Amino acid sequence: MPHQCLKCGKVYKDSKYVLEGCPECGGKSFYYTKKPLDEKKRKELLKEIEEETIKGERIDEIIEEIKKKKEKAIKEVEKLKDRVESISVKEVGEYEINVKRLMEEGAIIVYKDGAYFIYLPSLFRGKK
Amino acid sequence: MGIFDKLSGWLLSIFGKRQVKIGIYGPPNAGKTTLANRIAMDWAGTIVGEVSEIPHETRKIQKKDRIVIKDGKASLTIDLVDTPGIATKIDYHDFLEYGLTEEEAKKRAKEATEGVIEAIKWLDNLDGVILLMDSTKNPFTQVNITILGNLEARELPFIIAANKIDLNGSTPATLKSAFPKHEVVPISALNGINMDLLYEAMLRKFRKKRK
Repeated sequence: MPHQCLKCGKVYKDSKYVLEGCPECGGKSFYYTKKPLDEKKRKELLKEIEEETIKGERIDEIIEEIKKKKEKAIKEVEKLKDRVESISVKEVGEYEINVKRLMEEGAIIVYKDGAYFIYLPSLFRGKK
Repeated sequence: MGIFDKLSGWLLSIFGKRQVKIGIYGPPNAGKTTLANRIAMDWAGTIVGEVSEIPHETRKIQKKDRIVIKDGKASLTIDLVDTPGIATKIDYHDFLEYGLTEEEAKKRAKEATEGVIEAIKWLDNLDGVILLMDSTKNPFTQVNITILGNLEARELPFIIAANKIDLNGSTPATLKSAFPKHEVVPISALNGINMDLLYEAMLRKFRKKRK
């Protein structure tokens, strides 16, 4: 499938530009899709990528950025502590997974439309 | 412990050979199957599974048994377990962009969710883990933090492999400074960069007997 440069929107069949960067605009982020994206969607994705990467030129800037990102991620994980469900179903095909609860307890508790479904064998499993 | 186990344990301690189950874990599209295929190709001449650029291609555990990794006289026999990507949100809408029909996308989302559960369950059976991260991305995600914390709590030996170092925007040095307490090996599973360093780290880390 072709790759689209997220910066200028040009589509390439050859995936070598993913490694080298876009020859048109120098963009480094590509989207792998059959249907080229419009500018609005590309900008949204670029913003997401921007948030995902660690920026900074100097080592102290990078260390500071790492600290901030780490604190943010730990807070997000902590927020899940009080949630009883390990899987939340928004609609069929759209799931939110509480990885922390699943890893620590292995309990499969599914939340959908205000109801909780408990898969009992996941709670009664014996220890190794 | 039977006499055979005692004898084989003694032989292993002399010849330094062990058989261990090693799982490759990480978020979707970090390159887990590419890495599993690289290891299996390098040492056994076969592949473990199909790779794809659509996230959640691996939705079931894939296993390749008895891969022997060697470095000089030391060797390690591993059963390699390639796991589905661990994610906190799986949305079928994301797969529609790749040209899948709504039905196919919903099926993929369901299987990917089951895959997360299966991957986590498999942790109970493993002797060690390669935690694969994408070196072009922020390593501090819910998924990475949670897996890391859980591996520490289980006292399961693990190596962090920072993949895709051949890509623009890769910052393996940042990953090293992000996890100063852990062994971080920068690699490119696709192009085989630094695989010798990873094998050396695997031999060192996974040959030790667990307490």
